[in-house]
Amino acid sequence: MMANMIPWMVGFPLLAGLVLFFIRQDTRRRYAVYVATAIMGTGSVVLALNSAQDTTILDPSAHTISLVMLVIETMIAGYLAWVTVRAKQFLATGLLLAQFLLAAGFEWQALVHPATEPVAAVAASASPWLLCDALSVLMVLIIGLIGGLICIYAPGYMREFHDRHHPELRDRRPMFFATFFVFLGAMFGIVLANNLSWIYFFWEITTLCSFLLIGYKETAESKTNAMRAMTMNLMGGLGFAAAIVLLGSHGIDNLMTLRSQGVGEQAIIIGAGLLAFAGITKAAQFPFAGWLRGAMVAPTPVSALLHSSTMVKAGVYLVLRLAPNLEGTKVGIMVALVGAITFMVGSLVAVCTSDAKKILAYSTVANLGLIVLCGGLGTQEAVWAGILLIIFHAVAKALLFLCVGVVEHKIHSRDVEDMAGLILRMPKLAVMIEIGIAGMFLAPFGMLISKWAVLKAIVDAHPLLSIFIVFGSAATLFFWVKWLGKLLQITGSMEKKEKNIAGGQWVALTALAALTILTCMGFPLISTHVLEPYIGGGFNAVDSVLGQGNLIVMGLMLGMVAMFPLSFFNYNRQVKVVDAYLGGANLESADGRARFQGSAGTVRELSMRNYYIGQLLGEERVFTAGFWLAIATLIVLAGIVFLPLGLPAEVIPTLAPHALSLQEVAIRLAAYLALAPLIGGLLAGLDRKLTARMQGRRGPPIRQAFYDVAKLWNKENIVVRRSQNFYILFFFLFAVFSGALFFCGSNLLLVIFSLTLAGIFFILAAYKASSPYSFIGAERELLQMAAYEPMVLLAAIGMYMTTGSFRVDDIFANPVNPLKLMLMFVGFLYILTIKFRKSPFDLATSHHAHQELVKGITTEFSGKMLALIEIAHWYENVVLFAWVGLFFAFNLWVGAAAMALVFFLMIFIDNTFARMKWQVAITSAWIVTLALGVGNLVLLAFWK
Amino acid sequence: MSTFKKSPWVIHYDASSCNGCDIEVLACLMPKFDVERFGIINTGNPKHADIFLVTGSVNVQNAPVVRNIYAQMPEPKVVVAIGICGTSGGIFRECYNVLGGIDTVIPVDVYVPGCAARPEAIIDGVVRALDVLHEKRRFMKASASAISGEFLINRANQKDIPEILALQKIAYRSEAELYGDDSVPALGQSLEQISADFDRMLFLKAVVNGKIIGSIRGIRTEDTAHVSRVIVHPYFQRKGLATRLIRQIEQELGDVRIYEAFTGHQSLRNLHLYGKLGYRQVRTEPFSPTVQWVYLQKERT
Ligand code: SF4
Repeated sequence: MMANMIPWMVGFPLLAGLVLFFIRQDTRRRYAVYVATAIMGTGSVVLALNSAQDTTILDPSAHTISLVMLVIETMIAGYLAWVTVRAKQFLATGLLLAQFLLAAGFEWQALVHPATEPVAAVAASASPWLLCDALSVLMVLIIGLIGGLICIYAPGYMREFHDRHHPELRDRRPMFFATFFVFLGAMFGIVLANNLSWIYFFWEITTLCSFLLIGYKETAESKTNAMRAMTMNLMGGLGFAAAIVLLGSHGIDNLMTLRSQGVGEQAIIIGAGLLAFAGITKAAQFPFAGWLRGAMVAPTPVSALLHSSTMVKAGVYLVLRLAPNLEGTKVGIMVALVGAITFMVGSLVAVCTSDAKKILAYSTVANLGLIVLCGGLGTQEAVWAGILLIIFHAVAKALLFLCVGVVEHKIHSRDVEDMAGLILRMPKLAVMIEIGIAGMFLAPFGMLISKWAVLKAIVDAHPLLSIFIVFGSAATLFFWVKWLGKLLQITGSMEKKEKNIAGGQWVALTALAALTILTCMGFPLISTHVLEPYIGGGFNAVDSVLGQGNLIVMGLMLGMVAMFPLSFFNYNRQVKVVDAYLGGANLESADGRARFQGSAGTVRELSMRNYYIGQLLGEERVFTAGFWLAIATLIVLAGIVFLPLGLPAEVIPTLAPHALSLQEVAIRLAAYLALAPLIGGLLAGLDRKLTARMQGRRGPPIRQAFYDVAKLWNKENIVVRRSQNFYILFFFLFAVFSGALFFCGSNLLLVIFSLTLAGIFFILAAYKASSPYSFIGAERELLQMAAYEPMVLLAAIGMYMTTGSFRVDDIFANPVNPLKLMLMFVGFLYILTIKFRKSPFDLATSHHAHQELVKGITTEFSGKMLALIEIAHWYENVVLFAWVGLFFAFNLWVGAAAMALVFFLMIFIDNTFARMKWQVAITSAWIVTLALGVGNLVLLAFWK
Repeated sequence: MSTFKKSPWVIHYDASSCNGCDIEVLACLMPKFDVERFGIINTGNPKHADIFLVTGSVNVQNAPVVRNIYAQMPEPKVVVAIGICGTSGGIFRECYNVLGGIDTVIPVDVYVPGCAARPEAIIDGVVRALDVLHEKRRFMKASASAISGEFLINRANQKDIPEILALQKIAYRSEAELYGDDSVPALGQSLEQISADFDRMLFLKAVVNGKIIGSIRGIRTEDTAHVSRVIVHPYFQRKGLATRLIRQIEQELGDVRIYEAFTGHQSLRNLHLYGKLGYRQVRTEPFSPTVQWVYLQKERT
C-alpha cells in the first residue's frame, strides 16, 4: 500500500497540473481545482494514517525513474537557460549551467557507467529511494492540507484579481493553476524522497515553479523579481549539486545515510554544510532574503503558498533533516548564526513597514531564521522546537496571507494603517487576522512555545546566540501588537465591506483559522505522537523542554485568554459612552468619524498613525545592514570552519525542579493576593510622599493611593468604546497572574510572557479607546516594552546560566553569586526605570500632571477601570522589586536592602531627570542591554 | 470623612481669564500651599477628574469646550467657578463675545470670588466642593438602589418651580449635545417663562429623599391632551421613571380623545419611549437649523 502511495502522492498533483493546463473555462477549472484538492488532501491524510510503521521504502523501478528525471531536468535547464539568456541574466545562466553540469554529469555517470570513480560507491549502495517517516508525513500533511486550502482559495481570488483589479493583465490562469499543482507535487517529492539526486530534481522544479509564479503579472517589476528569486535559488542549487558530487564520492547518496553518519569526516560535514547552504537560500535567509521580499509582487495565493507550505519550507525541512550532521560542528554554528541574524534582522525590518504583505514576508523570513537556527544547533530540543515552528508557522501564516489578500481586494489597500477599524468593517476577517497574529507570537499560543524551546536550546548550547533572539523577540512583539491594535482602532468611516467574498475563500479562511486554534490547543498531542518518535532517543518534550508544571500554567493562560470573547456578553451593560478626549475641541459626528475644531475654525478629521521608527531604523537600512552582516558572518565563519579549532561545549547542569504541594501553593497565593496590593499601594504612597519631600512639600498621607482607588471605585463608568474595558480587565487578570506565577516559584520566562501578555492587553485597550492621547501613549508603551524586553529576558537567561534553572524557587534555593550577574543587574536597573514609567522614561503615562499627552495611555480610562489599572501596577511593581531581590537571594537582609535601595534610587532618578524622547528610551535601553547583558554573558562564559 | 472626599482630582480650564486666577490656581499646587496634602492632584484630564476648576468668563468660542469638558467628566462631578470673571463675567461681562459667568453654560456648584481669587480662597472653594461631591455621591448611590416603584409622583406647586428648572437644565444638557446646538429651548428657559408655563399647565414631579429628580408637564385643550418636557435626572434615567411620568400625566389630564407629545427628531430615546407607549408620529416641524420637532399622537383606548 505505502509503496504505491508515495509515487501517487507526488504524481497526482503533477497530473492534475497537466490537466488544469488544458481547462480554459473558469467555472470548470474551479471545480477541477476543488476536486483535485480534495483528492490531494485526502491522499495526504490517508498517507499520514497509514505511515505508522513504514519509515523508508525501496523502489525497484528507481533507475528508470532516475533516467526520466534526468531527461526532464535537462529540459528544465534548457528552458531556464533560454529564459536567462534572453533576459541577459548571465550570472543566472552561469549558475544554472554549472550546477546542471555537476549534477547531471554525476547522475549520468552513475546511471550509465556505474563502475567508474567517483560514482562507484554510490551505485553500489542499495539504499531506499523514498522515505516516509514522521517528519515526512508531517510535511505531507502541511503541504496537502494547507497547500490544499490555498488552492481552494485561489480560484475565487484569481477571478476577482483579473476581472476587477487587474483587467490590464494577460489572463494566464491555466498556466497559473497548472504551476500551482506542479509546485505542490514537487514539494511532496522533496519531503518524500530519500535519494539526494531525487530531492535535487524536485528542488529544481520548485525553483522553476516559483520563477513562473512570481513573474505571473508580466510587469517589469515582477519579471526582475522573478529573475532575482531564481538567481538566488540557483546559487543554492549549485551548492546542492556540489553536495551531491562531494557526498557521492564518499558513498553517500541519500539523506538517511547522511544522517546516520552524524558528525563524521570533514568531507561529510562540508557536504552537509553545502546542503544546508541550499536550504538557507531556499528558506530566504540573510543574505538571500531579498528574493522572498520581491516575491510579494505575485498574486496573494502565490505568496501564501511560498510562505506557508512550499518553497521556503523545503529549505528549512532540509536544514532540520541535517541536524544530526550539524550538531556541535562549526558548520552548524554557522548555520545557526545565519538563522539567528535572520531572525533578528527580519523582525527589525518588519517594524519599519506598514505594508501588511511585507510585514508578513519579513516575519516569515524571521521565523524561518528561528527554524534554521534550530537545525544548526541540531540538539534534540532544538529540532523539536524547529518542527513545531514549521507547523505553527505554516498554519498561521497561510491564514494571515489569505486574509490580507481578501482585505486588499475589499479596501483596495494592504497598508496596515488602512486597516484601522477593520473589526467593524470586516468583523469576521478581523477576528481571523487576530487569531493568526495571536498564533504567530502571543503567549501562550503556538509560536511562543517553540520560541521558548528555542531559547532554552540556545542557552544550553550557545548562550551568546540568545542576544539575537531577545532583540528579535522584542521587535516581533512591536510589529505584531501595533497591527493588532490598528484593527481595533476606530476613527474613520466604518462602512461594512465584508461582501462578495467567494465561497471557496471563506472555506479556506475558516478552515485555516480552525486549524490555527486546533494546532495551538493540540500541540501536546502532536508532540507526543509525531515529534518525539521522530526525534527518538528517548526524547520527551515535556521532561526535557517544557516541564509538566509549565504546561499546566500555559494551559491556564490559554483558558484565560479563551475567556476573553465571553466578556462581549457584557457589551450592552450600562456604561456611559462619551467622545474621546480631544482637548475639549470635539465636534459632533453624525457619521461616526471623529472630528475636532482646528485653529481658525477649521474642521479636522482625527487620524492616527502607528510608529514605524523610520528615522531610527528604516526598512532599507536595516535590510541592507542584515545583508552585509550575514555576508560578513559567513565569510568570517567560513574561514574558521576550515581551521582545526575545538569548540567549547557549554553544559549547564540542570536542576531537578522542586515540586510544591497544593497546600503550599494555596498559602503562597493567598499571601500574595492579599499582601501584594497592600505593599504596592503603600509603596505608591511612600513614593508620592518622598517626592513631595524632595520638592519641599509635605505631600499626601502615605495611604493616599488607597484613597484614590477607593474614590475611583465609586465613580461613574464612562467609556469611548464599549469593549475597551474588557481589555483592561484582562490586563489586570494577567498582571496579577504573573505575580502569582512568580511567588509560586514558577518559571521566570513564563512570568515574563505573562507580564508581556498583560502589557499587550493594556495597549490594546488604549488602541480600542481610539483617542489620540491614549493611542500615542499605547504606542510609546509598546516601544517601552520593546526597549526593556531584551534585558528582562537576558536577566532570566543570566540567572539560568548561573543557577541551572529558570524557576524562581530553584534560583531562590540556589542563590546566584550576585557578583557574577553584576553587569546584568545594572542593566536591569536601567530598564526598570522604563518599566516603572519613571522619569526620564515616563513616556507612556505619568504620575505627574506634566505629561504632554494628557495622561497618555490611561487618558480614556476612568472610574473602576482606572482603579484596576492602578492596582495592577501595584502587583506588577511588587513582582519587579521581588525580582531585584532575587539577584541578592543569597542573603535575605541584603536582598531586602537591595530592594529598598532600588526603590529610593528610582524615586531619586524620577525627581532628578527630565523626560527624554522615546528615541532615547529605546536606543539607550538597547545599547545598555547589548553592552551590559552581552558583557555579562561573555563574563559568565569565562567565570565558571 | 469618607475616603471619597480624600482624593479630589481636579482639572483646570482657563475659559478666558486674564491669567491672574490661573496663576493662583497653580500656586495652590506649589510647595507653599501644597494641596496634594489633601490628596488633590491636577490631572489635566476630564475623564480622571472630580472637580472642574474654571477661571475666567465664558465667551462664544470656548463655550463648547467648557461644555465638552464638563460632559466628559464622570459623575459625581463638581464645578468650581474661580474669580469674579468665572462667577459672573467680571470685568469682561460687557464684551461683545462674552456670555457671562461659567453658570451660563454649565451648572456651577461653588463660586470662589476675588480678583484674582486668593489661593486660600481657592483651596477653601475646593474643600466646599468636596461636600457637594459627597452629597452628589450619596444621591448617585440612592439612584443606584432606587427602583421605579419608590418614586413618589405628585403635582408640583409654585415653590418647586426653580428646582424643576434647575433639573431641566441638567437633564437637557445631553439633548443639546445631541444636536450640537444650545438653542434647545428647554435649556434657555428662564424662571419667568417656566412660571408662566406653570400658570397654565399641569406640572408633575417625582421625588426621592425630598429632592425632585423628575418632572413632566401637560395641558388640555378641548379633546386633546398635550404632554411635554419629560425630565429625568441623569442618575435616575433608564429606571422606568419616564414611563411612569407619562402614564401619570395622561391620567391626571383626564378624559380626552387624543394625547399629543413632541420631541426632537434625534432624541431616539424619547421617540422610542413614546413609541412603546402607543404614540405614533403624525408630523414634523422645523424648529431651528439643527432641530426638528416630531409630533406624536395616540388615541385614547
Ligand atoms: S477675576 Fe480678576 S484675576 Fe481672575 S481672571 Fe478675572 S480679571 Fe483675571
